Amino acid sequence: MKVLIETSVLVSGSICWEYKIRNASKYLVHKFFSKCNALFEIFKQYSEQKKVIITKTVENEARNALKKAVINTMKERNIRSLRGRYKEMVLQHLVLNDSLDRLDYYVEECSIRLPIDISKRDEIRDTEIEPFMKKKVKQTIRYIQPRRVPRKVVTDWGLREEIKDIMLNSLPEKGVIYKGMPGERDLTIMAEATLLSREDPDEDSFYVASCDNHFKPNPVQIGSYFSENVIYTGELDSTIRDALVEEFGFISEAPNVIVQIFQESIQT
Amino acid sequence: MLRYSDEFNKIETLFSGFIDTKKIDESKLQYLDSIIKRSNTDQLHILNNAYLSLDEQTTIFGALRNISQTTLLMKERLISASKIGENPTTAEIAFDLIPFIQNVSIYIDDFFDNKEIYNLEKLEMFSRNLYKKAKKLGFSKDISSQIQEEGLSEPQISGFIEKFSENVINELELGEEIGTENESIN
Repeated sequence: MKVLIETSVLVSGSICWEYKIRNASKYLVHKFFSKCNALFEIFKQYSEQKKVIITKTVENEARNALKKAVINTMKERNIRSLRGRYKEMVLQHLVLNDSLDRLDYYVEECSIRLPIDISKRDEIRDTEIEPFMKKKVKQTIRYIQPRRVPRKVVTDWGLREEIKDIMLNSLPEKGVIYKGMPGERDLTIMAEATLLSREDPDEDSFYVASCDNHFKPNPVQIGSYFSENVIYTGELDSTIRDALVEEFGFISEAPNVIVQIFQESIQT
Repeated sequence: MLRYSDEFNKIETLFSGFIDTKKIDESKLQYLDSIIKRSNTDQLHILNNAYLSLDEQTTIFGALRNISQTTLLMKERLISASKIGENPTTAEIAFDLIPFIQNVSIYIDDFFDNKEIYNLEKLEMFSRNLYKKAKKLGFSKDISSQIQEEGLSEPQISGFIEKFSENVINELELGEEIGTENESIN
């Protein structure tokens, strides 16, 4: 088992800020921190098996994402006074360096780096992954468009709920749920995963740990996530993820699922 | 005009003397004050420089802050070591840090000489190396102390952090994924 770390996992696992103010401890933890950090820490216990891989692409992207987030934060807050801007600069310096410390820890102490043939990777991205994904996403939808039963048509609340349930139960026939065409950054990581999994055909399974729905199975939702009335059915649509497994050999999963699979594998 | 690299060459000689004589001369440590003061003033000058982009300001400010904080901690730790008559292990450690400061100083001097930064990425890299090395060797203050010293208020910190979290999510395009998560933010 090998696990390639995707940018979202490396960044999310780097944001855990602890500080004291007036003797009270305060924490800032990224929403995905606990499961991303758990993946690194659990695999670190078995570091001699060299299972976790962070590529240079992912490391650079993660650093850039943190830096850009800090710059954009200062731009948006737009503090005018010199004293205020000084304090803001000190704050960003502390936050950024603390996040980078954790990122460096994952890169230096919890993972390995394998050589990547850049020209081969780019060739796989441009001639295999991108055309494959372009074809696939034509058959997908981002979410199921809710077809509300208008109140004036069905006035009874119970009946409207019953119709809604019928709609939910018929979801699998309504289309494949997927986030949409991945950007170049994601396509490059997919190409790196393909290249590394092909170079190690003896490896029983090659995973990509990601919090991004471009990689992992997508939750089935009714309505846009921007909508207050969005409904998650609790199901996961893994159609595109499975197609990627079949075509390119890497299995993308959420970090907590990979940890579970790993723990089960060492128990057996 | 004070040049950081020249000053740290002199400090290197000073520390070398402490190591050779196995004695830290506390009176000579006042020499570090001019650098601490200058680097603190320069941090404000950088923020007032309208010709620099925010990205450049951030990097140069960070580099100057690393110089000032490391030098301040050097002075404090060397004074403590002198008071207990320590065989100058602290001076040896501080001496080892000088090349890391020098790597940053060269770029800062170049910026003040030519009013433009030669290689921002390199400065960022050397500044980060200095930060890490100083932290590892115990020449940096913890986050809570720095927050207290700079008088950062709770609303300012939480406001910054909330915006930062939002921007990280935007950078990674994870808005949709966050919506489906049940984990709560602390």
